[in-house]
Amino acid sequence: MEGSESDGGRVVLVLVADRVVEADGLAVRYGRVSAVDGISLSARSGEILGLLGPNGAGKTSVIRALATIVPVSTGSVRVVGHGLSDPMGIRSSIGVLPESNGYPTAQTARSYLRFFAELFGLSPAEARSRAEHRLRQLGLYDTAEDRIATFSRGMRQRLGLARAMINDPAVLLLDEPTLGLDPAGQEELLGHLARAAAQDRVCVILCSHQLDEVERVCDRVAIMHEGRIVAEGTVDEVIAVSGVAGIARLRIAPDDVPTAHRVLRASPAVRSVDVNNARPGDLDLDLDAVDGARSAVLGRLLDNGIEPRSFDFQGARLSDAYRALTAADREASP
Amino acid sequence: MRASALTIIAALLGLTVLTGAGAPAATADPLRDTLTVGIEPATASLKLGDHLGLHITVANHGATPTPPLVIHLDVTDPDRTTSVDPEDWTSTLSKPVGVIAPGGVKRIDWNVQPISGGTFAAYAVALSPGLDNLASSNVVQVHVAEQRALNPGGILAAAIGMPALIGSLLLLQRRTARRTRVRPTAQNG
Amino acid sequence: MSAAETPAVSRSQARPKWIVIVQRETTDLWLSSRGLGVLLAFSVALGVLAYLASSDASINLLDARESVGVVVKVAIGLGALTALVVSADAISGERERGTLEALLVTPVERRDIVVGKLLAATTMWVASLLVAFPLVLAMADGPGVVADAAAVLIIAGGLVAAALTALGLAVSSLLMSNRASLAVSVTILLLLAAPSQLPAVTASGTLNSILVKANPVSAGLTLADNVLVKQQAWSDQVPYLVSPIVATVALTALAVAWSGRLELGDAR
Repeated sequence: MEGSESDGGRVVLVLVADRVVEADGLAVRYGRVSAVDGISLSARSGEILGLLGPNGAGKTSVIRALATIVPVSTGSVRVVGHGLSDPMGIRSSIGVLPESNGYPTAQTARSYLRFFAELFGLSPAEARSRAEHRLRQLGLYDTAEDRIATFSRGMRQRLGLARAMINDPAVLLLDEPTLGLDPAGQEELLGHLARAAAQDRVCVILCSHQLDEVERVCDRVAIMHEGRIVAEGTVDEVIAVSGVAGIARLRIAPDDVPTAHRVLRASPAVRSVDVNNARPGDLDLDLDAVDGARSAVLGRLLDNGIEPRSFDFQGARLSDAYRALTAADREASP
Repeated sequence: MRASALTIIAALLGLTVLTGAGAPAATADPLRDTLTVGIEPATASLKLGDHLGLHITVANHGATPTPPLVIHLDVTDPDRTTSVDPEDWTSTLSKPVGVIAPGGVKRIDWNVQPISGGTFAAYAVALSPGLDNLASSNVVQVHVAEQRALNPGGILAAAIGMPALIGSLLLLQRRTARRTRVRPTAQNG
Repeated sequence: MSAAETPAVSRSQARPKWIVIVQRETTDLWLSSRGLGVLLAFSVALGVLAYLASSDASINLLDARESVGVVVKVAIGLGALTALVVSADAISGERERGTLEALLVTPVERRDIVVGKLLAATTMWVASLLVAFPLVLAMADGPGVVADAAAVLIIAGGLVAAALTALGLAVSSLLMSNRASLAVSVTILLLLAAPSQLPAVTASGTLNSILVKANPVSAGLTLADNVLVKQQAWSDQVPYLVSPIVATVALTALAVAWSGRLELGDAR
């Protein structure tokens, strides 16, 4: 859907919920090694897409392929309407925060941002203005004249994000942006991303191992394993696909544990039962994603004369789905 | 028998004449007996870097002309305290002087420049290609005094000044770079 | 301020990107300890040599032209080495420091990156010249020597330095490791410089003469000797200018051509 609006004499084309990143059959090979094995994904403006996967899954290769700094073996990529035949067009439209993010330590934050702003084609005056804006936005204004060598890890990540956003990109590609940050730093950085997506309609593609942060901030996730996407969708959709309903902690009389263990293991609603040896009477249940799983468990207990003292159910988390999906893919692989 | 003895004696005489014909015809006497080689001055005292003029005379006291002669100059350190390479003193170590008539004298001038301090012995020899003897001169005692200017040509200002300036800039730069701010933990992120 | 509110870009006033890179690289080189550290080592070595040469000249072991000639030749050799050391770090050093990827994802032509770094590395040679000039001035015994020395440093030295800088950059583009880049670059320099110092090569002979002229380093050093010490005319030195010019053009073209293959070291 497209529209236009007038803003102080300028007509601004508004692309609402438009796909700005499209990869179809994307494959990246390094010699004989297939890092990305023909994946297809898309992302829209204003959306935050989380790219998850264990080490070696191919996440970084996807980011680098979209950024046009590694050659694509097969498949097509379009970023903000630019194809791989127009790498300059793609690079002009994106901002990248790589995982191995080094900085010239002798430079100041201000000069660093001005330099990159000019590389994106801004005049010196405009580069100064843009740099000041991003420094303020990322909380680095007061330290702008300090050498980057004096910056903490968190400050460097914010500086990296400022650099990635210096050209007002339509797409942000971030590889482990919160790596090494403390919880407050992670929260702050994710906040900036959420604001960029919500206010500036930036499409954010985020690689991370931090499943809880992905769950918090991402609109959609794609789970990668050995170069393939094994699940894609919203967090709830991915959890549903994984077949994991959730974890429940059941407390019963210690004498009833053997009976409960037997009857629950036989229940189709229960994937696994673990006796908690540290707390007599406690059982940890891994419930299957079927309707009425919880009531089925409670019903079976009552039918066998076991009265639950407490039943604490936690809905499935993304981490549970991630483990289940990657394990399943591992088992299914030849 | 008498004829055989005569034959043998004639053969021996003839052999002597033949071997005698192979010897240089110019003189039958060794060079040292017919030539006088002199080198002046007898002693010299100079400073390092100065030039020294050596004057060599070769006189033929023999009754026959000399063979073609070559004068060779050598320098050595008799005390073996300093390594001397004659080629460092002069690029020409040998000069041809040709044939000297009976009673004739030839003079050769040589310019040398010592490159190290100490006491040295310089001498010349006259020899001829193919001859297995030579005539040598007296020895010149050469005393060379060390001299080194502390600031030759005013070079120190630049030779020390440039590194000092650059080193100062480097120190200043490092001090500036080492300036750090203590950042509270709350800001670490 | 959202992206929509960002002031319009006046792209007509944007500077060429290679100039932006030259400025940034030059500032980095001289603001960090790297540039001044290398220059300090150069100035100490040349200063010691100039002092010893001047001492010999003062006691007539060398005449002024010979002593200036010694210093000028060493300045060319060492000065070109300093530029080579800087250029050999230009790309491989960025890889190791993790700063290359951020540069590669910008809309800058790879050749602009290489040209910018090449020009920035040549500032090392310019700085070496500025260090050598005062020494030459102090040692020269007349404006004729100064003029000849300046011309030799700028022309012959400049060409030799330009060729070696391009060599270092080309090697740096290819090799993933900074140490390997430096080792290979310096080894090539030594292979080029060493033969010119061997008596067998400097002796007369057609083959030797060709070898000397074909090697850009030995050609430059021989030109320095011919003009400064032997006081030969510049018009006779054209054969000694050919290989430095050819090497500069060819190696620069190679470095720019290889720029299209710039890649990350850990991309695999």
